[in-house]
Amino acid sequence: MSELSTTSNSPLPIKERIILFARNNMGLISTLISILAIGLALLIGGILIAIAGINPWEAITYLIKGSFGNRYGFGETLTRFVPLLFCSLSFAIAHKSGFFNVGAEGQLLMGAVGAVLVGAYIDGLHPVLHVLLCIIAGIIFGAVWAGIAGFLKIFLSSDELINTMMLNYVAILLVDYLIHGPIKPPESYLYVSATILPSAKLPIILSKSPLHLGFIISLLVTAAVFYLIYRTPIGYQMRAVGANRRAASYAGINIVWATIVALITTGGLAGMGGAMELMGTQFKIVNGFSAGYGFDGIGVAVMGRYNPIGILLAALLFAVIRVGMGAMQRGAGVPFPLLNVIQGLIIVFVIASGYLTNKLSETVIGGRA
Amino acid sequence: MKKISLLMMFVLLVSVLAACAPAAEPPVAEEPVAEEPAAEEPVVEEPAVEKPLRVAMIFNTTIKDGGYAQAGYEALMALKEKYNLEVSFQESVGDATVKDVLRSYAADDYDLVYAHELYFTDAVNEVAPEFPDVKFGVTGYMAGSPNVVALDATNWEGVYLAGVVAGMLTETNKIAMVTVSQSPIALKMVNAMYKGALTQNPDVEILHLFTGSFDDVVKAKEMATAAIKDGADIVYGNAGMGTVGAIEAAKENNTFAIGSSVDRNSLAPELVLTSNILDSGRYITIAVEGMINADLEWGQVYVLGVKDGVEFLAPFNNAVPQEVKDAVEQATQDMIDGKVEPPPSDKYMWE
Repeated sequence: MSELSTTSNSPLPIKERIILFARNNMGLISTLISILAIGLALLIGGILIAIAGINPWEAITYLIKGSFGNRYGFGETLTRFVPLLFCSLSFAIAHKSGFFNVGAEGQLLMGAVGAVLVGAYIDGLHPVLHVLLCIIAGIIFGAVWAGIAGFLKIFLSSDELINTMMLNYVAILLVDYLIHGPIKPPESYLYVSATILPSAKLPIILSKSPLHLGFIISLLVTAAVFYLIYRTPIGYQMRAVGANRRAASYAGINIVWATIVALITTGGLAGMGGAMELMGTQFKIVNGFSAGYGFDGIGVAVMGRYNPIGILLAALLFAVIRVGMGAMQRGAGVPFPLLNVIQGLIIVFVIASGYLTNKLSETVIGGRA
Repeated sequence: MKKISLLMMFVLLVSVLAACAPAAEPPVAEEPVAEEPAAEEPVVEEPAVEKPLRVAMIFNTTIKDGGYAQAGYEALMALKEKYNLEVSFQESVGDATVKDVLRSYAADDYDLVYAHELYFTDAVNEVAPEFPDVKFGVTGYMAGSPNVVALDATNWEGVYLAGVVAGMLTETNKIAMVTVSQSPIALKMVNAMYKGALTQNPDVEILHLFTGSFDDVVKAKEMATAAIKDGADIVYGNAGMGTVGAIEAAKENNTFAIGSSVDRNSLAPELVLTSNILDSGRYITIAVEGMINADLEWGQVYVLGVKDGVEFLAPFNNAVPQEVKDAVEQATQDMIDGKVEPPPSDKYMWE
């Protein structure tokens, strides 16, 4: 691309120059289009809010204020960001490796189960060791849960999209069963799991807010995951399998091994997200432990176009929406169903803007950005 | 070039994340909408001459659920009118996020934050010690901090009154009772029904059935139908949505029924004798008025029933004769005078 831009010394017709500018600044342009899309969604949302008889300016002020405008809201936004990021990484890795994992919700729940078993029932460990063991348990449980669908795919060629989706419901009901008996503390009135011990809790990194260490870990994991997929031989093999299974096989890549690594990573990431959510904020499993993080994670990965920066920004946007919506309800009294509409509008607009960017880059550089 | 702009985006992100100060500029703050509508900044309400009490309420379902949450919401709105409160609420809050909502309200200097759900009890007790100047209320069973009040129902007094009605009106001496489970609370209700019926009818028998689900209408209906075939001539349903199924079974077999939670008369006006109502709106009224009149003891659990107006019977239908009404009135009075002992919750009384 850079050798093209250096040839622009001689004067060119205006149309060529625009195309050249666009070609060299696709990243910037796609960002602008995304921001414009969010703005447009909020504009329509604002009109709907006005129709409902509420001052839209006030409502949108609360959206920003609630998610960024104060210390607690800021911390809460970044706390919500953590499980969303893990689930979207999980989906993105699987996607790159040619595996459709829509089961992050179930894997996240199973990861939380693993972490609660280690966190609540193993006593007397050093906090660092205890936290590490909980995270490992979360990864193992998540990976095993994804592994069920993977096993069925590798050995029985059964469709993983359906299996991972169905395993979500199995996980939800299994957790429901567990908190109704096996992991419910006998003295509890309610159907909840045991609470993890203080040594298994992640420390708060921003005082007077719920922001916990899992946030830093999630950023490091993001870097590690993209290092794995783009800078290591196994990452290359995973991507090759994802791009074309048969070609990868002819090239001598061990497809089963690459798929197994992809499965461990995708399930492990979602499971780790569950462990982080448990150890950082909730400390025990309740009914509805995952507020749809696994499903939103798919949206985040698609919106972020499977690229690390894109995923970070998209996860942040989803977190802002989640937290800001609550503030809009509390502060401006925007009715809950209307909030769902606005949330949907933002997501639809941003994903549509992705297609617009693709179309644009096809015309200017003859391929996808 | 593409890499540079990606790098710039990353720098933007990092700077946003790093600057935890309130002044942090989020990327979404750059929306063009910002300039759009008439810009006024009514961030905080004008301070009134006399500062109104600020009350916040949290529901775990929609406020239009036709029962538990709606009653609470309507009570809140009535209180707002009556005492000129400044109110706010958030609905459909999950157990997983309620702590954040509680903290947000408390940090926003609300005087009373009321969580209207049993499953919020632990969260309220966890958050309350962090905000000693804010009062918290919960419809639950525990008040673990001196600024928390927990309001709970007896869950049996209203059933006892329904038992009085059923005991007098049954001709086969068999009453079918459909609940969700055999939990201690359910057993207490069954025993209350038995105890109430026994005061009027020494030969009465209870057929206890449980569905295992709060929303299994079909199973509740099947179970109630079987009990009717077994000779029961009054069906009492207290099984969430299953109550509707129990009443439906009564309707198909032309048998009397008694509803629960809310007035179920509209389901079968000729057959639904009454319903034992649990007015969940009373909780919030008691909490707010207790705060205004300073006669509520914080750090306490209040178990409320007939005396406090939380539990009572819905208006009777035409099939209920005057003598039954008199007996219910007498039983209500006995209960208020403390003459009725709570039933056991560990086994069936007749065993």
